[in-house]
Amino acid sequence: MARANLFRLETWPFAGQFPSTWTFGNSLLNNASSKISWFVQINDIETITHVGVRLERIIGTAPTYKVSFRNIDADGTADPNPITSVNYQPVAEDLNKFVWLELISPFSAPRGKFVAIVIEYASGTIGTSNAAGFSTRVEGASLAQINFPYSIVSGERNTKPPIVAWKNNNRAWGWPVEEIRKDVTQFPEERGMRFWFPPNLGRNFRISGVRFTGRLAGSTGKGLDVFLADIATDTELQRVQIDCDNAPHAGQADAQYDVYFPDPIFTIDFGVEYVIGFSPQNATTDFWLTTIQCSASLDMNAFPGGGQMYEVTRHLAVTREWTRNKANRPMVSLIVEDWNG
Amino acid sequence: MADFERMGIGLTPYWPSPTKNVVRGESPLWTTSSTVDFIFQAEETATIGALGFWFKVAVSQSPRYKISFQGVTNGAPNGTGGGFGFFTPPLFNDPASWSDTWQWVSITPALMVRGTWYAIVIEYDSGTIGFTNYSTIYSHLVGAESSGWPFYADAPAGTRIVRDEHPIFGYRSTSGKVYGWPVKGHPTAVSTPSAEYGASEQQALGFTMPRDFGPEFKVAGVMWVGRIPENVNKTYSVKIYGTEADSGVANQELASITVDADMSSQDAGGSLVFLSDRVNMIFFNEDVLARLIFGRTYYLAIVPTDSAATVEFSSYEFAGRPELGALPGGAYFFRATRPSASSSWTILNERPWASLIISEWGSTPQPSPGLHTKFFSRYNDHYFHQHADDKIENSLAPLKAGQERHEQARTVIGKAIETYGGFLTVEVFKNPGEDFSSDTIIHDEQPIEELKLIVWTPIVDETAELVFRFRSKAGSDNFLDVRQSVSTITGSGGLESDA
Repeated sequence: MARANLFRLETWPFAGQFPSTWTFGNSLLNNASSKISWFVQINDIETITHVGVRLERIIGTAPTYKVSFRNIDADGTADPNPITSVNYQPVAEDLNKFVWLELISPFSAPRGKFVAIVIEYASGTIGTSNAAGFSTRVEGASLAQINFPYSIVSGERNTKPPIVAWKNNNRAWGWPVEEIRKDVTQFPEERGMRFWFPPNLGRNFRISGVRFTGRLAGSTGKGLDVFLADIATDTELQRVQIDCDNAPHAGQADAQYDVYFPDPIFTIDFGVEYVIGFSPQNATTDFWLTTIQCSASLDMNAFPGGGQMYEVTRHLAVTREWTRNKANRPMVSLIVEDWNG
Repeated sequence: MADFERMGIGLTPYWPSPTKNVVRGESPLWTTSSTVDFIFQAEETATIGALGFWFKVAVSQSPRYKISFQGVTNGAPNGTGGGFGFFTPPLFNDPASWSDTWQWVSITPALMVRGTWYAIVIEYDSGTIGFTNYSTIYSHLVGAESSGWPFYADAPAGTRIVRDEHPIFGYRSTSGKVYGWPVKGHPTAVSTPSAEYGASEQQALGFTMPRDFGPEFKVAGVMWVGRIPENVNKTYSVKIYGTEADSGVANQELASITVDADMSSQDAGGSLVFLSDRVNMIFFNEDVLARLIFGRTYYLAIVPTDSAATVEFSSYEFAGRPELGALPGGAYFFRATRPSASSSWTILNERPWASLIISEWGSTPQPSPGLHTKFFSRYNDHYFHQHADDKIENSLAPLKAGQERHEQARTVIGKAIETYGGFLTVEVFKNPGEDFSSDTIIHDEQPIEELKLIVWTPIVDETAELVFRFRSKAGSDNFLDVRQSVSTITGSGGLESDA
């Protein structure tokens, strides 16, 4: 088996540090000239039928906005003429949702094409009493500074990861983030990330650890176990016991943890469902695992690893069966020790 | 190949934080109670024979220090012994000065067990110590906020303070394998200054995915950290170069995309502002991404495209090749540089700040419904071998021994094909529906390498469906049908079929 030298399979949509204060950066479009532009790159060869944005707020009766794809001109700005577009009048039931809008005509883009997605006023009464706000980016004090992709809000460029996406009936691209969840997990609850790799990726591999973002218990004497298990047979393969007192930020803030399993490290197979599980060992261990929530499981295709990596939960006092939350992606990356292709 | 879903091959310990110009931070050891410790989990079980740190400077005659690894209780060293050793740094002006060098200190060999938390501790041992007799080490990267683990703490004045920044430390097994984060410093501090870049100089991430990982893979893009051209209306390119072993041509360009540097989160309304290194997520734009072979070395280069445009591809620096091996991906991933695109690469003990975004990853060569083939009436063979699901050699490359040219329509593909997913023969049917008979066949079963390229117009129309029936043994009842629907390629002069 080939030594992978502990490379990580990065499954996060954002490059970032421990995001202790993750929130959405929002922008209000309350005059006829204000607009949001996201500059992104098409990274596949597909026909795009929908564009998606996250509606953050409505004031009064929102006007109708136009969401469009634009070419990018030589000076790096969005071309004024839309490639295709859709009009959208925000409504209350869309609040805090990632909203998919069907384009008036599908848009076929070659791989690698740079485009702008622009949302701007189209019609209706707009002003301080009639407006809507959209989430343009993820904010977090420790998130990486992004040069590209990026967003511009009324002329001001932003370095934080954008919140915008596009899709067709088969696949989504971009960052269709509806919510950032920090659900507290307490004994005997368990939470984890289910993963499955295609059989033709190779014969087998070994995972020596995981990188995750979350918060450990702040009070003393608490424990959190992280384990690797085969879902179908409910067979635990590896487990590491964490003394939360060893964590520098326990109970204070989210942190990014690199955790390694003790011996033995099992050889596991492609084409098999596994889970990286997180198991608080005390009733008052208020652990959370930072998790991105999408509006639908298809949206998960936009993230590295696609729809085969999603959140699972179970309550051991009730059942050992995992509940599958296929629209949620925990912030977990796998540290691979060996890979046999 | 399997869809790798654009997962990243994570090669970096962290991504850049908002803090400008992350540099090394120091921990002075100037009192008898001054300490610095690094808390981490052993990645695997190994006998440790040396502990390492990046030494900054000795002020006058330094005292002797003790370095050890210990157990951890409540997030702090517990004094429970592992191995230990001692060091007395030479004077800063001594020819053997340790100033700004990575240092390994031999210790009494002791076992570290995978998954167990340990602390490496540096503390005073003996000799005169004070503000005029002490040593300082680089303990962390300032501004690189770290994580739960690993982390470091120091006690310059005797009171231990847990820090947030990413630690710099290392430990080495008796067999010579290096662990930890033995990095010299932040990329900006060590990468080639922008002024040294010209139109032809290239900086690259050299990478060799281990041979045993599989047969082939495709790189869809890259997340790289650095600075892009600072002037308006400039561009830069991201390229992948192969090696002669891969293509028969040195410096064969396998993928390339040009990026308008005006598209930047740092362009503040025409007044360009470049505060710090930033992450760039860039994808290639080839219709069909290049197939890269495990076990071969490639170079992902960030290239200025005109002389006034400079780019900076940030990179970590290490003391040596073994230390580079401590990072994810190990020494298979390294910085390479060359003065021009026609020059040979120089390999450095550095790690560019980047991750590869993988779109596909193949295991054993086997056909799948994803076979993708294009036929063109005028450009036939060139496009065929770019798009066919095989391992045909590059047509632009010099012929290898035994190979034949096959650019012309109606000529055999010949020995250029090395393999076609393990199959040997092929039949071709036109609009067969369920009727795979002489009524629909347009090419009888024949060795794949003898299949003549299809000249399109006389044979099929624009709405045809072709079925390629592949067998691994002539006449076998076992076969794979690959259905190809056909559409016109605007402006290409040909027709495309796509499964």
